[in-house]
Amino acid sequence: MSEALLKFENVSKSYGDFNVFTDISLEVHEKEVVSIIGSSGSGKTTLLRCINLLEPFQAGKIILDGQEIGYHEVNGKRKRVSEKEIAKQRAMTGMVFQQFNLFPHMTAKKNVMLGLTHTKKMPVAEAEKLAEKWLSAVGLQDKMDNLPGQLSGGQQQRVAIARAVAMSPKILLFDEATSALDPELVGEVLNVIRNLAKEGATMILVTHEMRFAYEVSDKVIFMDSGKIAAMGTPKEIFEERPTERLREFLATFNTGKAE
Amino acid sequence: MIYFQNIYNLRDNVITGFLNTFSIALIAIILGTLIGIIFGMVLTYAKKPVQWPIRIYVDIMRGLPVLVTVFVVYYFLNSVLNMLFGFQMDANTSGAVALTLFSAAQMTELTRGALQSIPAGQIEAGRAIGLTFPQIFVKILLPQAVVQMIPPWINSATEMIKASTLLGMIGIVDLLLVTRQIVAKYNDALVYYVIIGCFYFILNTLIEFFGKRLSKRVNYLEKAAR
Repeated sequence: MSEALLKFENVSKSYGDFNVFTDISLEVHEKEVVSIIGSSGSGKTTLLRCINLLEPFQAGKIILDGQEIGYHEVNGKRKRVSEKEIAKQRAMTGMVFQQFNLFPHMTAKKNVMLGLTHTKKMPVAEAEKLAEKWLSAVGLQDKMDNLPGQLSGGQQQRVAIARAVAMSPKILLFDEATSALDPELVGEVLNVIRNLAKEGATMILVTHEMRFAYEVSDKVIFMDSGKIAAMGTPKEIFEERPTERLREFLATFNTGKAE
Repeated sequence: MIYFQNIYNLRDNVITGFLNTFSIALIAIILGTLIGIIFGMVLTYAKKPVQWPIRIYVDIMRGLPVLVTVFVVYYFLNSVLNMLFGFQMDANTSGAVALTLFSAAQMTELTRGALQSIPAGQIEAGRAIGLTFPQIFVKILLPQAVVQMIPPWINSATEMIKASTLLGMIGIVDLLLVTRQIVAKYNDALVYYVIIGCFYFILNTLIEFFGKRLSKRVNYLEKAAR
């Protein structure tokens, strides 16, 4: 198998005395879709946020596209790289947030353009074309000049996806992208994600949508109290349910007792 | 009218007074805003030890009557400057410095409040698309903060106009001092104080009127955005 696009090597993260996760190792290959499931507080969102360095981590290495990100060794000591370097490394990833986090003072199109013109230094006309292309791809060709406040939650999240994808990141990170949406708006967002998967985007999804994870993932990771408690194909995780804890967790979804 | 004739007789003083009041208030507002935005950023984003001196400065300035600040700058700060460097600021400069110190403290709090009310997710979203913090500040945070800052900023601006009337106490020829000169010469204190009172009232009402229109305009954007 080819070299992994993203690699965690014994990564640990803590807040003071509290260990969020410990000694995590995993690999994500190009065009793979990986879902991370687990109960709240299991560390899955924090894990995702370490990949684009929104969270610092204390030990281990995260290697993206052959490059160690966030830290380097100076005289044998582990040091965080400069903010400028971090900004560059972040641009290799795209993130979609639970709360959309669109910029409320900018139109949908401007939201998508900002990273293109300012991070990628793309000429405005070119950025505008690209923004239009991606907003159309998520079905918002007639909402490009609307402010986020004039859009529904599902539409806002689709703008957020367009904003992330337009940067052509190496990997897309979805942090519970549908958790803040009204149930009837979840489908339109999942459709967009499904299409991205079909087109071969590399993605990590932190999600509570078990059915969706089962359907789109190549690999599913079950996290429990800061550890990878189970990892495998959707079939292995959802049908064979290798551990007791996983059975318990999945049972809460089947009986509708999910958080 | 004899009263306006009398004012006209002292027109040179009146013009000086008007210019002094206006220019000092304007300097205090502009410099205060610039300093306030920087200090407000520090109070919102800098590490605690860096925040401390600014926190103390802001709390002292907001706790002192403006007149005390004016006296401290004019008498105390000037004598310190004289001792150390052998020079002093004239009354006008001292007044401008004192009002700027006060105004900067107000603007600092105002900026801090506006910046802190912006959800952390905005910064994270900016980071996620690879922007550096200065870019995030200019393109994402400041435009949102400004919308919220305009109404209290207008309020502070009128505060500065009113505070400038204290400057006569250190001998700056401001509008109020000129009024006192006119009264000293022609009596009829009530009439002249009513006239000057009306002038300040109209000036501040105008500022608030245009301020409200301005904030309505940007608020329209804001409403659509929520």
